[in-house]
Amino acid sequence: MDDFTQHSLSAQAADVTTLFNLHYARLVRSLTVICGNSEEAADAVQEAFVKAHLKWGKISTYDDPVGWIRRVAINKVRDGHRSRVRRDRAVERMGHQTALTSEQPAIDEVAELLATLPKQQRAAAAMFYVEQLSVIEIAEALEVSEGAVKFHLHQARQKLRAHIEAREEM
Amino acid sequence: MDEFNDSDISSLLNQLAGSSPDTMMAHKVVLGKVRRVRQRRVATVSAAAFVMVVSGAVAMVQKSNGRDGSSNIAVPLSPNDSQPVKVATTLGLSVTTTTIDGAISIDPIATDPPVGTPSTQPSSNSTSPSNTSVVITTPPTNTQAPTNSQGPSITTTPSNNPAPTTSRPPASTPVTTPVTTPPVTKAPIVTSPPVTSPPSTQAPITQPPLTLPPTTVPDVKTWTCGGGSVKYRVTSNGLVLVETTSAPGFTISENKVRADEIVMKFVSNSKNDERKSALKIKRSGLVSTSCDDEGFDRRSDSEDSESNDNNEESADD
Repeated sequence: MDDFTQHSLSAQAADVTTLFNLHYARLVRSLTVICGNSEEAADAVQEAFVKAHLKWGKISTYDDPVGWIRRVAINKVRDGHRSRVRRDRAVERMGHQTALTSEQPAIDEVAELLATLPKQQRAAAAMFYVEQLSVIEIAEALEVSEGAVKFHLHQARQKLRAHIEAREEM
Repeated sequence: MDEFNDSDISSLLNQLAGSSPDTMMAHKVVLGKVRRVRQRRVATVSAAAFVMVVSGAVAMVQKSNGRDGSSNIAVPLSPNDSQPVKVATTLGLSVTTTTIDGAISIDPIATDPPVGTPSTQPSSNSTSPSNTSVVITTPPTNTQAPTNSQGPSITTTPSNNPAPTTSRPPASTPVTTPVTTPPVTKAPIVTSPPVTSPPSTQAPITQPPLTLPPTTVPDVKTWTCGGGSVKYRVTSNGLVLVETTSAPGFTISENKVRADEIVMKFVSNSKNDERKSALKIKRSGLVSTSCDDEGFDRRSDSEDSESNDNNEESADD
């Protein structure tokens, strides 16, 4: 391997490493809220960064490489969730009592409440409140319009606010 | 975006998201996964390249093997920069016909067998026990048959009759060349015939025997009179004058050569000598000859002369 290739690979690794150091924790925490499992979120984000490493020559030309990584990680979580739901339904059709592996671990009541929220509301709330993303960035990540993001955020906020007020009254 | 800002919800969700994960450890895990994926890709590409190289090498070997089987004879670019091609031809001659039935063997590597050593290849359809084998060294661009290898029963030799020339036939169809063809036929450039034997054995290639149709060699006959002699040949087209020889002291006074008749008259060179000689050869179905000598004291012996009595009368004179 010549010096130029070595240098370009090291520069690429430096770029990806920089992105990783800056955004990995935020992405994992946001996806933990979305999927309810920190390990699953960490695996999804790591897989997204592996793909970014392998395709960095193309991804580096994008306007928002982190947005691409986030979208890949969210798709990974969704795929995992879909496969789990499909597997649980198949087991149910066979008449067995399933362990409900697709259900989110009930950390507390907030987690249970989040698990009852639709996927888009949960993802929008996680990105907005945990990752501190703007409505536009959330719309790009979820590939929906800004109005849809605002609607999902409004619905999620109402439900969470109601739960918080109920807890304060208790 | 202030309408969505809610510190309570934000703190609640951040609490639910947990603490920050270990970035360094996760980075090592990511780099390890990247390294494994790249190694898998390199292995796949290397295996594909290896398969391609091996398949290409196998194809080249097969191609070269196929070429070795059919190109043991190098086609020379020019006669000067190549070794001569050696052709061994077995000739079998019958009594009245010249039948060439022999196997032509070409040594592609042009080894030098001793010239004149008889070949031991038997002719497939030759019945004559007097088969002779001749090894001829010819330039590669001009393959000629050997000069006449004559059987013992031929009595008259066509001195200027060209030898039957054999050009190399195609491998499948034997070529027959009549004797009356021009004496030298330029053979085509030797192409490489398929060789079934491996090149290392240097075995000569046995080709189908070359068989010529039975042809009659026209004999040269001589008819002599007192003033001179004529050598002629009887062919299917008629009479052919080969040579005219005047006797000492005589010259040709009249010379008429046609397909059906040859008339040659001789007169003495000296003015005092009035001897004359008229020689006629006629062909009308059969060949008849006549000789009219005037002033000669003896007749010329002839084969089938129809000489009249003038000779004796002249002799008496």
